[in-house]
Amino acid sequence: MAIRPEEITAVIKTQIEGFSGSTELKEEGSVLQVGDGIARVYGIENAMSGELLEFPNGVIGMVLNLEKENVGCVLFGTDTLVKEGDPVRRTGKVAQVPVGEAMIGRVVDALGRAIDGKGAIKTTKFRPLDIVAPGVMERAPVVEPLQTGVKAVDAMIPIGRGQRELIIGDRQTGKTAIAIDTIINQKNQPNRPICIYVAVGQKQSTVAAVVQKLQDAGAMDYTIVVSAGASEPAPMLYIAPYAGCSIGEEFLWQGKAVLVIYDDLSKHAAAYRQLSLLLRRPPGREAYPGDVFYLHSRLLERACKLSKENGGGSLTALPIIETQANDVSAFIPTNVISITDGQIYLESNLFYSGIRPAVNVGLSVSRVGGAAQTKAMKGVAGRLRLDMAQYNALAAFAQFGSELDASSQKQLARGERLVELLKQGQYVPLSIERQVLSIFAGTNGFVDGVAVKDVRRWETELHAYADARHAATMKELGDKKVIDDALKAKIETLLKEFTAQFK
Amino acid sequence: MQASDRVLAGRYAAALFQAASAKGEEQKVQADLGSAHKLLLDAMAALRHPRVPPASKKKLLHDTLGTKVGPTTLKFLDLLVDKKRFDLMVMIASVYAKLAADKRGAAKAQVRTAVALSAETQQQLAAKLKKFTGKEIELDVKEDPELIGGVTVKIGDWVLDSSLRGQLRRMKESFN
Repeated sequence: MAIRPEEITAVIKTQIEGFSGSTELKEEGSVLQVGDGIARVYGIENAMSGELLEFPNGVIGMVLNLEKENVGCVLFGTDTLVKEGDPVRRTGKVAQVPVGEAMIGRVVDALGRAIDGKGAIKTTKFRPLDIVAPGVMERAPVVEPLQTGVKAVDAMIPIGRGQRELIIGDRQTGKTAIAIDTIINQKNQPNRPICIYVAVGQKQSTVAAVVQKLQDAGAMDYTIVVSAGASEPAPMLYIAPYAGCSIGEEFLWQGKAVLVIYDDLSKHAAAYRQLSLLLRRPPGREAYPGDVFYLHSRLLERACKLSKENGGGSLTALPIIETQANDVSAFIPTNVISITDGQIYLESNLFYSGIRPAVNVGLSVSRVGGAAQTKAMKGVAGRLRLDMAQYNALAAFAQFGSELDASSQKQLARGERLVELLKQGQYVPLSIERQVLSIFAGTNGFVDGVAVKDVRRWETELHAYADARHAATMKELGDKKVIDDALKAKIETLLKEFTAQFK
Repeated sequence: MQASDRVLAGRYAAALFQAASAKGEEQKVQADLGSAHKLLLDAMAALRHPRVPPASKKKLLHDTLGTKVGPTTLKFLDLLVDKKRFDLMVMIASVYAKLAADKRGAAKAQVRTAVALSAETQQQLAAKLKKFTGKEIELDVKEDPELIGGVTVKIGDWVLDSSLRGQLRRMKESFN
């Protein structure tokens, strides 16, 4: 688009002519002390908690502490631009973030400003960062599934729309991978959720890689990335998840489905700890302030499924927590585990023994997702969980090298193949009918005759075969949501035919 | 200056104000504090110095002020020496002035103007501000050419800005 200077001049001219605002009445204070991203301000006695303040040089601050004689606030910018004695003006507004359709496909910072170089975001709507979560009467039970496209998760730890499911594990165990796969998998889902990926305290290179991956998969068309990088001041990290949630709530109240991923809340808690200690709030366990539980509970409580009268929208939250040396009993992990409706527990030893996604089936649960699982999946997955549990018990026993009877041998063989069947590559989410087909085959003994090393090749070829020869059956499986006897017979024929020709 | 200093100054000022009100000498003590500050300007360094013994400081106070200030003020300054809080004196005086003004229902308005105001305009301004705040207004007018034009008034924390500089700043912000 060509820019004509005379047009811009005309626009500015009309703005200047229309400018009125001869007098401004504002409360003003002065900076007592500044440093470490924190400022203490004298005056502004009527300031509200959470209110935005204007400092010189365009620096914005947010009030966090209201004390006798002074106000403690955090700065969303470099504190070197602010000096002792500088005037501070109240804005009368609480911290807010721009929201709306224009945000979709964009990468923004914690204050909603574009950082993807695609120009300013044209939106006039704002939402406050911190709101009270919807109450009991505004909500409805979680009933629709949120398909992650990951077999191990969709079958055994199903997530419902409006649920809060924690993804927890050590570094490098594929936590972000599950989240990204889930975003990619939403592409062809009915009533496609709008996805919001909130990156807290991550390397800019990691965020750039994620954005690139989403773009390549065509997922940026319905995704918003909120990034507060490792180099940004702690206040930005502190507000980023709330900003992401507020952006999502705009769509939630329009009756749409929303998926928000907080990657990760451990760094969020660390950023909040930094702020709290600098504001001289008393430290508690692991030096976190006393309200660190509330920090996360008020954020995750905002995930919900709204009732029909409120539009029936949903906001699903997938918070991520990074543990140290598999220690889930540390302070922040236990807090978030108790807040969420279940957790997907990833383990590094599983990851390194080649089981990817490295989901520990025994420790992972979903407390509400079962109601949201499709009947077809529920039917095949109930058996899977049982088989896996028996296999794990037997496998531990079999390590002693003892002789096993035939039925135990059979169970071991079945288990090994099921483990193999639940393995899945990154960025290849599977549709629900393919997942059901694979798990049906596994739990009904169709894989028992295949060598363990061939199971994954067997599965890929099965999917290709089914699509090519039995497209109608697959479609029925996807649409019907429940396996009746007729459909079961069709699937069995399909599997028998395929097994017969598999080499 | 630390945040805690203001809290301390507030406590000393409140205590002094109560003591003065009990004797009905609020005005006198305020005037005394002002004149004491002026008289002690040269002696401040010595009074604040940690290695000068309190007895010498008190002697200095009594010799300088002696008959010029009332006994309440003098006793209060002695107390400040004993408590090693003499550095807070100026701040205490300003908080005291505010307390006294609140009690009288008066407020101080810091007026900054680009050009000098005539006495008549000042009276009109004071009358307007009185109507606006509901308090007796004491004007403190100073010229500040940096405003370019217009006037700013500061009463307590509230700033009324109708200067040209402020308007230009707001116009600049509106373009973003």
